[in-house]
Amino acid sequence: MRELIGRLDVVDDDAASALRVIAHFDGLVDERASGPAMVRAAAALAGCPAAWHDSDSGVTRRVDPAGRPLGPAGWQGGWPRVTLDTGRDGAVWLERPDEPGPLDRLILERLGKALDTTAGPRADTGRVAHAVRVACDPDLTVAERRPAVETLGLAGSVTVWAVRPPSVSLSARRQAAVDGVAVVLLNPLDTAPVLPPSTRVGSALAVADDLPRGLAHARIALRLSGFPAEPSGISRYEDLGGLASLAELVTPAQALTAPDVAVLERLLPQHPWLAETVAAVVRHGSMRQAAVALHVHHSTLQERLTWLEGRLGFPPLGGPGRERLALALSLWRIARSDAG
Amino acid sequence: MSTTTPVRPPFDPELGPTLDAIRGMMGALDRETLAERRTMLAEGIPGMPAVDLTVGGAVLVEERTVPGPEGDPEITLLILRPAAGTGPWPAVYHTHGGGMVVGDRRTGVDLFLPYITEIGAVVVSVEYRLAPEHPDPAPVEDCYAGLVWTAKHAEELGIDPDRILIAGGSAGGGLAAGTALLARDRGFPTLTHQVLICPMLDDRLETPSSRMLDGEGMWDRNDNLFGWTALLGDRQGGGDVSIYAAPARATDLSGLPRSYVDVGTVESFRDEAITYAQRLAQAGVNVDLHLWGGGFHGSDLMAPHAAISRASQAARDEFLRRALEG
Repeated sequence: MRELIGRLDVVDDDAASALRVIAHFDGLVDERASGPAMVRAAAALAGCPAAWHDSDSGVTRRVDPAGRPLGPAGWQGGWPRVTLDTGRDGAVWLERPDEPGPLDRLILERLGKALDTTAGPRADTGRVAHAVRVACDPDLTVAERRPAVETLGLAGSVTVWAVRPPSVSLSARRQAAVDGVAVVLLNPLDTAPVLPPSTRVGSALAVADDLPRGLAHARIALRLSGFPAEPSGISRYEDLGGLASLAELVTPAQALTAPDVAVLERLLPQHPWLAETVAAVVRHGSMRQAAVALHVHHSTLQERLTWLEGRLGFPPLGGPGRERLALALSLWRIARSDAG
Repeated sequence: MSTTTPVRPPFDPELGPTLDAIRGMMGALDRETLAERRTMLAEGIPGMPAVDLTVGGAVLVEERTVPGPEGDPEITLLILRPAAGTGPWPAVYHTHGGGMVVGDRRTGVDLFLPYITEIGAVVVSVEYRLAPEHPDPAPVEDCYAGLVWTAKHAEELGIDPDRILIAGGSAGGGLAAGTALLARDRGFPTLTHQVLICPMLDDRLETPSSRMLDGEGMWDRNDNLFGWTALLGDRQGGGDVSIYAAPARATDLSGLPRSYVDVGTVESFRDEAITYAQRLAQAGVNVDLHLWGGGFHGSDLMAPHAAISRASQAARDEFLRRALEG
């Protein structure tokens, strides 16, 4: 039967061959053939290996003209290549070391178009993630960010989340990994996604036109939520008050030089209870309430405070001591906040 | 008899464009287009290089004219042997395809070249008389005559006579099955395997698959009727057709060799191939049956790059290697 087969690969640079290439990919798109199937077709039509690098997944697929998968390898200069940037991020190329084939460019363009057109839910995520990044980009103007903001269906008030770890997968539509955190954008009607254990969130209110600022605030809230240990949960920028301003003005290295902070920092390794104890004393109205919050007997707490007074050089409770301790705690939180 | 066309499954998405391109090049097969189709097959597609049967010198190519059936003309065998080594080797006796009406001893033989060079095997491909000029029993009897000659001259050809299998695709698959039945019933020779690739087994055209393609796919019901009518004339579909011409009609399938049957779900031959495989098993014969969802007739030859084609080729290749390596 072999001789009955029309030659699949293109040898002529003529209209009939061009139409055959176009019809081939149109057919695959109509049938919603898979991405790998499209790459196989490109290799068969071109008569040389074809490759598709998908930026969303980081996977490169290469096949030979018989449809056999080849090991991953990068694009080499000189090979014809087309970038994908509509439905998907990435590139496609043909591995043509010598003379270009007559319709290489057409084959690649049609392959790229077919891949973009048939981009499925995963690529929807890619497009949305791209829009989230653009909408939060401090280097772009309001006008440059607006199309992305509109694509995301955001207007007026937005809640911005900065989430650690960035690889966490939340059931939120508008999310993207940006510089070490997962960014989630929520409008007032959205249900907040459920947080897996060991996920920390910094949350900030923002306006749709100034999401970069909202993300910066969310990052501050996230940074400050790590110490004393709050293993999971949402820290709101709006609850930080002056601490937020302080965190913007003082670097962690600078905060560490404050005398009271240096003392606390030195004492912490031998006294792991120190941070929670200072925080409870600062935050609760009475020693009794602080002891309850710490799950210790009030006399235990009393012993600790007596010891601390000896180390710090001032009484931590009452009057000016309380204010000084609170400030030490704030600076200590900045000193120990996550980078970025 | 129902007059509605049975439903068919969809073609595999990767195969669609290839099918469109080929149907664009070839129309229906009938008396008017037959001569043109034979020429197309013999001359090949313009620009497509002919297959090098010597595989760069690794294969010795020989043609022999040998006796045909008693009282009938001689037949030609194409014999392909490893250039290196002395054998004895296992042999593939190949009966080519082409709907009973087109093709020659070279048609489809390249599928078996790797076994000559990689495992060490002899391929013998028979040129049988074609219908409609030579109706049944000419084609299958020519095939059987060539097989007998091959088995009797095994030593001379470097073939181990105990390791001969028969293989063919499409009409060649039907002829392989028919020849295997002849070999069983006439007591010579013994075959180790029969490899039936999308085989043409049943002239009665009663199954749903034999009616489901009308102007779609490859080898639709019209082409199929033309092929069977060319072979059988007025006898097609009637009570006077031998099991060697249409193996599906055989009631006793016991004693046949280890079998391989493959077919696509969107082929005219689908239902008869599945039934034949099932009946082989029920007769105590071991059979591998592979049904390829979305495949059309000959699709893995016409679109070899598609994932479904790679899967069916791999399955067939694995079986043949197992069969030839003993």
